[in-house]
Amino acid sequence: MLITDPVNDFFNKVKHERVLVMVALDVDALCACKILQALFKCDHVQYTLVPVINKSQLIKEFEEHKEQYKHIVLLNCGGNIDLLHILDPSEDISFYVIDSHRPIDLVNFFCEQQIYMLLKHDEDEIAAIPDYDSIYRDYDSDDEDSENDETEQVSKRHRFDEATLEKRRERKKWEEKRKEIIFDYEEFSFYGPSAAMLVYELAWKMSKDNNDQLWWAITGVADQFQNKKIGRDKYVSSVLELQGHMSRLNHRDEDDDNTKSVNSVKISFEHDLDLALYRHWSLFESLCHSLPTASAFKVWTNMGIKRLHQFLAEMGLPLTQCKQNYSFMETKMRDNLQSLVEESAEKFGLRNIKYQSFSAQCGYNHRLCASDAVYSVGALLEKLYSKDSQAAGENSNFVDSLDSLSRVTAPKMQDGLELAKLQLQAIKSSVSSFIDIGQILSYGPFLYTAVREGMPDYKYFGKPIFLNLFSHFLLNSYVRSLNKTKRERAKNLPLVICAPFNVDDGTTIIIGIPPLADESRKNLFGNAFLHAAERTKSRTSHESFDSSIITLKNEDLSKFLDALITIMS
Amino acid sequence: MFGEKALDLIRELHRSRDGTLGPYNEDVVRQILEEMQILYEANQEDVAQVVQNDSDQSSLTAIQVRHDSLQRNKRCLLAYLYNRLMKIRDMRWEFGSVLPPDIRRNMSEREVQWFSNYNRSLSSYMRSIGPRGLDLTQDLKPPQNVFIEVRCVEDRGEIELDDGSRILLKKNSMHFLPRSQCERLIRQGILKQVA
Repeated sequence: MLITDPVNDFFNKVKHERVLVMVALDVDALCACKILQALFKCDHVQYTLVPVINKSQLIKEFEEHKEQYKHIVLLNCGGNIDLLHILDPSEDISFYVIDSHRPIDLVNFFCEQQIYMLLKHDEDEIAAIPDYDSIYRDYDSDDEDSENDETEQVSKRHRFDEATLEKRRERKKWEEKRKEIIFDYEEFSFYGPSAAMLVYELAWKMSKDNNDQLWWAITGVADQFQNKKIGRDKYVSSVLELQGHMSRLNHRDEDDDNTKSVNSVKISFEHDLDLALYRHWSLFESLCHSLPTASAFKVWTNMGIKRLHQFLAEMGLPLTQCKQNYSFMETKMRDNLQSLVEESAEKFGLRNIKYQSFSAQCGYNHRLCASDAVYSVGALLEKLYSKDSQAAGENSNFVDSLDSLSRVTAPKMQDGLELAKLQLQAIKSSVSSFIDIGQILSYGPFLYTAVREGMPDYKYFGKPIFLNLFSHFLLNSYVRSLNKTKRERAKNLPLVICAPFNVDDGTTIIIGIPPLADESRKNLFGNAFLHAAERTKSRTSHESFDSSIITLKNEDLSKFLDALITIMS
Repeated sequence: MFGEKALDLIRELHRSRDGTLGPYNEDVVRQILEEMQILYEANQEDVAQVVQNDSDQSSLTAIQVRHDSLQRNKRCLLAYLYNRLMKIRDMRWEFGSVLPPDIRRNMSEREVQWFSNYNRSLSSYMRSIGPRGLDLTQDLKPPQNVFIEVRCVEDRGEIELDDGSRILLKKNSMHFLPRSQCERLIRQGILKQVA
């Protein structure tokens, strides 16, 4: 059921109850969780927080907790799966789903009770959902008619023949249409508004929002943009909204009499450079490791490095300055950096080097950019552990990353930044080697490549956030590395990547991402994977909340890919 | 010199850090008592002589010195015992009615006895307040929040709260619970408060 008034229909309902909050492991969900925690704290709502990685864990945690809790909040999970079907909850349990995964499962949406969906009141979103009447229809009366007392009605049958036939025909037609509608609806998977944003709006409606919560909402939205879950237009419209909230919350600071203490969080809106972690790294490294610059300069070639040097020379930045930590660069250069980069970027064919963003500052510490926070938290979520401490480690990742969000200056955040640098280096070196060796193959309807076991850093690739970031990086760089005619074609091809998931079990993780030219970020792989698996009877598991990420047995890989090719061509 | 041992005892008490209870120094206490016994007997003798023989004033100074030493020893011993009892009393408020074994080992038999008596009177007093009694040791300072955020450190299965609801303590799950429920679990190291 759609919730129209989140304050009354959601928050006031759970206010005096014990609540179970299940959080998916992505940055957006964590941010939403932080805001929700703050709200619960204000009203003394007792809650329990449980991280869930995938569907089976969702079921397991639900089984363990179902007797103690009657109200369950799902953050960034469960919206696109039929909850009543997989969890089979008793009738007094209600679910509140705040999920950015689309399409929403129709049963969840039309269910009259138990499941409550928190959505943004967006015309497009509601319009995308098919009419109730076109998918559900009361058949009881018809069915009874046809099956009722056959013997008695034998004689009468002839008379009704015409009518029943007509009815059946109509029904068949309707069923076909229904199938078509559902297929159209479920064909693409994509992302709606960020969960953090939705929860922030709830806080705003209750007049309990503050700068901390705004910062979490910003981070949630930045996560969606950075991991290419939403297109630029959706991002910009969210940013505009956030900017409105920001100026509303901070208008008091503008006159000098009301200056706030230095130690409070200050959020500012800016047109920032789209460079990864440059405030915490050296400019040179950052240019090499961010997607827009790395793919534009083709830094994996010698020519590319030369061009990068040229670019720096054009801007008039000495190498010694660029290669040292950003915070130690000369102040004058730092101040002019943005305009310098922008001027020279055009000459080198760098478009969209600047984007609207936010940064936060607390005390006299360095500014933290929203996208850097996303990198950091994401890296903490997917921190690798050695084999023996793996089980313990994976759980504590959730706790660590939640801690890192707690304050802008949290020490965990710094750890995360360091980890993120390692990840970016791994991405860059892998992208270079993939393109150098020419490992990306065109399979006709899509591009394909596989990460081999034994590659350096191959363990990173089993993690969905990293894999997703890597595949976008790779696709971008690959398309750039082609010549013009090929490039046009490759722009419209999606990419499929396989990587070892669990070496001991012999399983592979597969991710599919939409083509570069597609701005809507709609992903058709969810359904394609499902059909391919059905057709080949491969042992796949569609455990991830993201339908475009699946795992399967290594042996089934080749037949699965063959089926995928036939389905998509 | 007389009284030296008693001073040692006081020094030992002084040296032990705040909130810790050193072992009960039975040896030294016994030695002091023996010393006092000797002094007392010597004084008895001299006093008897003086009483018999009014004119003999020569031993009066000695009696005076011995008497002062006796008084001093007594004061030191009492101070030693009293301070230990006060520490034990504080520990009752800190640790609850059952003391950790390492502290118990440092107590003398009499102290143990005193402790259980103190326990009894305290609990009977606490029972007498209000209709259902009140645990005075719960909040020594007024709490800042009624609820606190805690993180579970180890798997402990289900526990039942005062209001009858049950919660599952699983490693790394986070909870927002009434402070009074958590305090004991935090002391046992099952939960950790999130700052």
